[in-house]
Amino acid sequence: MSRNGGIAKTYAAALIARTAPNTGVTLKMLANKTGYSEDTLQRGRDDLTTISAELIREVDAALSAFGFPGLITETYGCPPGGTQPASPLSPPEAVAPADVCWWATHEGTLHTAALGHAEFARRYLDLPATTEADPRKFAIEHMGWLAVTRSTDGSLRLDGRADRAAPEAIERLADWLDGQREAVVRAPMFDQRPASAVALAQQLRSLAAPETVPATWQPERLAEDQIADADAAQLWRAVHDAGIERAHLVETAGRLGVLDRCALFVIDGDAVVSADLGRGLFVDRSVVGRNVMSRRDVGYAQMLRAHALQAKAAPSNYLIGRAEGGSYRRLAFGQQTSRNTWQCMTMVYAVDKPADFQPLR
Amino acid sequence: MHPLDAVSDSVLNPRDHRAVMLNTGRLVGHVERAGYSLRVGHDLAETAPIFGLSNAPLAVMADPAVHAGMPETTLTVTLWKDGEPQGCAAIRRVWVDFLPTDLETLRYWYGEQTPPEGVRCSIPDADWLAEIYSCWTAWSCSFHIHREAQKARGVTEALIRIAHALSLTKWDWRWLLGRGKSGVIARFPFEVYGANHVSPGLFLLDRDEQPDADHPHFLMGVRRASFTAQAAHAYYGDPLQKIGIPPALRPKTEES
Repeated sequence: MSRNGGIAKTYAAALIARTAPNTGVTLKMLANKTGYSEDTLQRGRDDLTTISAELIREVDAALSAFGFPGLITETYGCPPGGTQPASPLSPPEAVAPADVCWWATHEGTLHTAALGHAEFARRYLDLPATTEADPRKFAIEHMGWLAVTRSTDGSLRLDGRADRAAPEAIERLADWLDGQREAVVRAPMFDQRPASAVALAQQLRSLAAPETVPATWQPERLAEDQIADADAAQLWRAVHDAGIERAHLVETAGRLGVLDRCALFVIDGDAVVSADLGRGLFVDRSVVGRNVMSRRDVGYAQMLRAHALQAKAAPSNYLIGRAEGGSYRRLAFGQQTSRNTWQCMTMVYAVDKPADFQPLR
Repeated sequence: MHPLDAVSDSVLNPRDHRAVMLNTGRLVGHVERAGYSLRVGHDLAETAPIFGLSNAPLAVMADPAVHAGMPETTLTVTLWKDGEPQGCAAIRRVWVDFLPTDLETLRYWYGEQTPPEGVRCSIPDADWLAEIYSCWTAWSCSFHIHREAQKARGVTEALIRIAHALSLTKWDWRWLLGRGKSGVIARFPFEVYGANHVSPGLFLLDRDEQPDADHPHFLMGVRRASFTAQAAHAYYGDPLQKIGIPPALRPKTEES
């Protein structure tokens, strides 16, 4: 049976987050400060004895003096960082001003980081204090966490990676921001001016929404005489003469001297990997060997992946699209290379060629 | 470079990436708490002297004389204690057109270089080899860990797993290939192709080696999808778990 009912767990969690080993504050230090015995504090934390409102208030005042405020608000279920009730034992001027830190993690939980973001992440990963790693950076870049800091002036700062944030962290933080209506939030991750918490919550939620593939591309079969580009027509003819299932795509393109205009993808299941890029294409060559979904321009990557998968499903398609300033076509040949893998060779050419047209990938 | 700073752009999907990197972070934490430090590099010249401490022949793929430079396709993880090297792992990413052919011509190991006289490679007749066609593979056979470091619990397992996890996150290879002995393969943390299908000793690169019972080498391969599932499993992040397929992911046998 719980002695303290609904607040037993929240009180214990709030106290544990603010005492050793999570912080440097021990129960003995609290006992000295509040006048309660260490045993009473420990039994209260473990729900073995009844804790009074007076005890909670005094412990909160003592913890605030040590730089870890917010015990009362968390114990009674107020959102972290919520306004604390005035207490004669903890007048605002007696509390040292300090920033307050939280992490929204990939588990969809909001944690108080009493000793700062880096220290919390270090302990979460169980790294030693002497580590040369940067746990804060690691948590943001690789674990999709979002760091929140409340400054002494009440404003919030949000740090994270828009392209890496975990959906669970986004959802949790957006919900929390909805309850911070009056706060001004700076979010360098969005590269914009300070905004209201509600506006930022909306922006966060838009990150988690799935990107849609541009609908401007549709597969279409064209007759040979409709292929406007001479190289593309030559390649199409050579491949179809040999038979799409038997043609050596790379060798054929090489023999015709058009390999520099072609890109090659390997398809393994749903994964589409950029295997080779012709020298004539204006593309960052670091994408070779990478999954197309690892590109930064996610919308384009999704489109590219969709085209390759379409070519796998229906060999020798023409996919027609409209590029900015003019339309172009992607000639795509799909061919099975083993039981599980396919390859897809593409060539792009302009139809209504604008003056500044550059062939895409 | 610290291993946790070694990956900038990931090629994994975000959910797998988070799981793999969380495991990697915990493995790194274990090694550092044991008093060791780790460094990630991209130059085989850094690992060759450490491999030299083992008195074993240097693997061709880890030989800087054969594979000079090429930092973009080389990944090394070195283990240190008090400024002294304690072990290393070297992984290379290689493009293959058709693996059986590339193996036969030795192009897979030697690239455009001419292999030394007498070096040969007999190719096993295995279905899974024929599947490896036009893709990146990561060769990952080279590990050395000092005897003293092997005594530290979980450090050997952590070094192997960290090197594999980083190569998984950094590069989009389709297959992980290597040469191993049957006893070691049975304890690998992923589904291994080849071990059950290839006769021992068929895969030789050292001119003095003879295919006999004392040289039970196998060519082995691991599919990326199989490896990703296991590297993202919580089991992988616990270095005190023996190297081996997590129980939950082991293929079901007919008896079970």
